Amino acid sequence: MKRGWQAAIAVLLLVFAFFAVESLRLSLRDALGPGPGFFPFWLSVAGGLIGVALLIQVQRGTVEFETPVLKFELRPVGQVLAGVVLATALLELAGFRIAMLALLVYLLLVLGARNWIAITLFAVTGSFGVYHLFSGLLKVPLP
Amino acid sequence: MEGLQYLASGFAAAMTPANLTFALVGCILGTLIGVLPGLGPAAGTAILIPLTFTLDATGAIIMLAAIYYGAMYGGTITSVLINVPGEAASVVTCLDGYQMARQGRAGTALGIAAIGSFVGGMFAALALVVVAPPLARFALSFGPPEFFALMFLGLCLVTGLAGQSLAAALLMTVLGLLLALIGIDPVRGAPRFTFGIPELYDGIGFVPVVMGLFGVAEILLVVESPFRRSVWTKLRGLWPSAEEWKRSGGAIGRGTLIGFLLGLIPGVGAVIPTFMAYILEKRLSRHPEKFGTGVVEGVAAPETANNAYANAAMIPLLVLGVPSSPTIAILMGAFIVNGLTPGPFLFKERPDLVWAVIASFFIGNVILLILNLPLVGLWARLLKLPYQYLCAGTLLFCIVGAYSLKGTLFDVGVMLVFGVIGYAMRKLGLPLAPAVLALILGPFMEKSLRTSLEMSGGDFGIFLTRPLSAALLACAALILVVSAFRIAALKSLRGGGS
Repeated sequence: MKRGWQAAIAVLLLVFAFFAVESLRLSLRDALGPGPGFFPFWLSVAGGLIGVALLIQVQRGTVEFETPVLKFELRPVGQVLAGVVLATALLELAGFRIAMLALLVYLLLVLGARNWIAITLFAVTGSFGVYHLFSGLLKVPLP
Repeated sequence: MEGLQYLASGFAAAMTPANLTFALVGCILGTLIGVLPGLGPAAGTAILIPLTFTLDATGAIIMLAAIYYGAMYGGTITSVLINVPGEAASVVTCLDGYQMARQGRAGTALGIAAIGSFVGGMFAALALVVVAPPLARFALSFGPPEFFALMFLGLCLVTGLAGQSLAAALLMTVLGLLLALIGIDPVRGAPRFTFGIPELYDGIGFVPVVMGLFGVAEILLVVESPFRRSVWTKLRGLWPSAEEWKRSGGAIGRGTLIGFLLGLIPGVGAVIPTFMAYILEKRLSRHPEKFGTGVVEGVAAPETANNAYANAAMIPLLVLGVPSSPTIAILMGAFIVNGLTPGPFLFKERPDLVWAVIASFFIGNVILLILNLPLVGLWARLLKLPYQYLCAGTLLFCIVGAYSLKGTLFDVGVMLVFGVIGYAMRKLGLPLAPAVLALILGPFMEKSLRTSLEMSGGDFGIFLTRPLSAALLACAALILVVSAFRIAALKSLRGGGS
């Protein structure tokens, strides 16, 4: 868990550094008072200082973690994310109905569903049914 | 009682067939979300926002508010029947509710929970009617420094109560505020942190972000460690006995007061009132040793506090424009999506909408009572839904919701990125609530700060020379100091214990 927190704080410090540098490119003050860079710059500075303080606390072991060990089950998470990213990429190419039909069948199989009748019914309802609900009834255009 | 006059006109607007339907649909969807383990009120409200895109603002807010308090109630059903809380606020209900179910008294537990929720919700809604008009009028006298101080106080309350590390909560607050500043500068019109991407000129969409942080992240956590359910309890007699009524009366009254009072304080969250109500009943009981073995007060008190909290938490949002929890922040996002800014000016500019929404709270509580007493068996059947279908369906709704916001894949991408960020944050135990609240309050805070500094010619003293602003900032500082001491004291207690 300690390494996880250190990595997260390091990423956040980079984010704050980016915001600070970009804020300096905008004006901190102008003729009317504080400029567009004023608030984000001082927030980034505050974030950086808090981040460093937290990093020191983590290093010294004074932060109590909810669980001592950080465990990831990356395989199912990766499989689900890959499917969603691919379906999103196909959304405007293949259309909502085809992309979502494929995604739902893929997700159900990856997650362990094996009843083909239920899978087919759910996937058809979730793709064609939802399309008609949003496009027809709710007038929300989908590709 | 000017509030009652406004409320009468609110009822006239809320009782139209269309708005009644929206309230009913919202209560059904909310209860469904609460019943399904893995989906909390925040995730549920976020992923269902797109359903309201084509509705008028009043109908949309009525439906989303109904989803919110429906979800708060729905979690009770799983707590009692399978010992799995549908959302965090129902955790404490498991202690006695599940034991009652094991003794064949699940029906009574659910019945008293529904009745207690109804009483708590109605009291809080009535208190809102009384409190809102004078408080809104008072808040109309606020200038930019007072609004900045008020929002700062709200963020400090949420930050101070979020988790075991104050520094981590502060870090999340700063991150949320910075992300909120992406887009066109609201005062000067200059683009900031946009990388030249046109979609970012409007800022990062709040709806895709919360869909990712709550909806997608929740599903990733579920697929990582799927839940299995095998327990099934048959339901009999929902109406409590005379003895149970007698024992529950006081618990319902005290739970109502605790839930209502804590609902007024931003950052408290729904969990603390339920635990406080439970602990108070245990302390007051002549047989505290029986708590945890299936006593009816152990269900009545937390469930009442839960619903009183849910309704009372709308007061800071509607009257002051300060959300008190992530779910309320999502509701505030729904107001903004509909072109409305919650706060005292909304009472002045759109009283028709505000009072229709407030009237809908009463209607929603009645609908929930009807839905949850006779139809509880139907909800219980939903527990048999395999988790695979729940996960796939939720992801589908997230994609549809994010895409339909502006009809671009960019928002779906934002949702997925924040889904991964939310998943990582939850795994690491970093608090989400401060980041979400900061994200919604960021633009308003910046505008108030800069307008205040323009008024004073750049002098920060303006925040200290105005009495109300100074008092609010002093409260904020006090809360941060007390939170730091509280965390240090907890650590030393644990250290001593070990």
